[in-house]
Amino acid sequence: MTVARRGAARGDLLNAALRLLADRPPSAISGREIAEEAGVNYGLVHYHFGSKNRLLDMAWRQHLDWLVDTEMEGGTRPVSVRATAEDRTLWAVAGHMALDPLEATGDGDRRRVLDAYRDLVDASDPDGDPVHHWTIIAALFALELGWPIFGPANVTTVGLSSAELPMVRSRVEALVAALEGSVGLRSGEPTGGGGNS
Amino acid sequence: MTVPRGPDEVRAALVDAASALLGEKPPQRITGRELAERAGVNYGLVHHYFGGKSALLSEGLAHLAASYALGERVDGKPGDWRPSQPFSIRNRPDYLRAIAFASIAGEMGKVSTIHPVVEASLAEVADRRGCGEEPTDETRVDVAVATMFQLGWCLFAEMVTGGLELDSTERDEVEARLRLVLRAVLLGLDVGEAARGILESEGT
Repeated sequence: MTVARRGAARGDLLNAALRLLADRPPSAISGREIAEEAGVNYGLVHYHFGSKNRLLDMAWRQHLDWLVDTEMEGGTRPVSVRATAEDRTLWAVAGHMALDPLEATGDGDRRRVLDAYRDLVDASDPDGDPVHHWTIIAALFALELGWPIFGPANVTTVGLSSAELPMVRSRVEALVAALEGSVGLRSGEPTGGGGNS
Repeated sequence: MTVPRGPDEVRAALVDAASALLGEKPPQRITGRELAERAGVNYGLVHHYFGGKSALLSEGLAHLAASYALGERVDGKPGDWRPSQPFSIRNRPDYLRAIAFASIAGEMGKVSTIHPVVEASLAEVADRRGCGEEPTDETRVDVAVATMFQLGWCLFAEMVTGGLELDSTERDEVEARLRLVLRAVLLGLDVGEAARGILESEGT
């Protein structure tokens, strides 16, 4: 196998790992399954990543890096409700990682989004109360990830029809805007203009 | 382990097996054979009593929901908490995990029973808002959002508080504020003010 193809195999393995993580938790994924999903030789999992867990960890971190770089524009704005909800990989993998935490592999960290949020809130409201800031971040994570994961089923549980999902989503968006507004932030929605701090 | 005998024991053993496995992995990854093996019964009995795997998994989820609504602990004994308390589902990690796995897989909508805890919450919120017994659509929306907020927090609390490197005192402070935020969601108050620790009065 040529060097170029080995390089392609590395990317294919990372993509395959992320697809499988959206389907099930890390403990239910084997190295052989990732290799098969990527269409590459099993030996390359170890060649490129050392272990299955390290591959899964890197795949997840790569997605979080992408989120911070694109949706958060390098950490200069919060993630919108729309962006989170439309990124099934993000909420499904986050859910599986929360259900079945992957042991740390020692290189890099998986907190990049949280760190970006903390910096964002601190910069936007420098003299604010830390507990207020943590609560805002906690509530934003709970709502923005809770909505795509639990929203569709909850709508029918309260006796609304799925046709009324947009109404629930508007409410989630309004709450997110209010939470962000209380620390002087504003999601980068396409329709948005200027800050409200 | 004793082998379940007779229809009642076999059914109960299979529902228990379903409840347990639902908290361990996504529903689409659970096989009929695994369910039978966990229950200690013959594979054919899954079909005989439930018609198939998915009906049995629905029963397992309904069983967990009912147990949670009764305020039972994971072991089935009475718990020292009430399901109406904020974030009370944390006391039932088995049920929370089952809902989370099924929801991520998009399988939750198939269990369309109205949840007893949500129903009680609807009635209570409608009452506190002074709009009578029949909840308005607005109340339903707020209860739906409050429910997903609680589930979302219980699922991601460890990830978020760990990532923010909060110590146990700080976690408690955040939890107390999140209870105020939850209250604000349910009562239509300002969630930003609640996050600051300001307790707005009801009915304003």
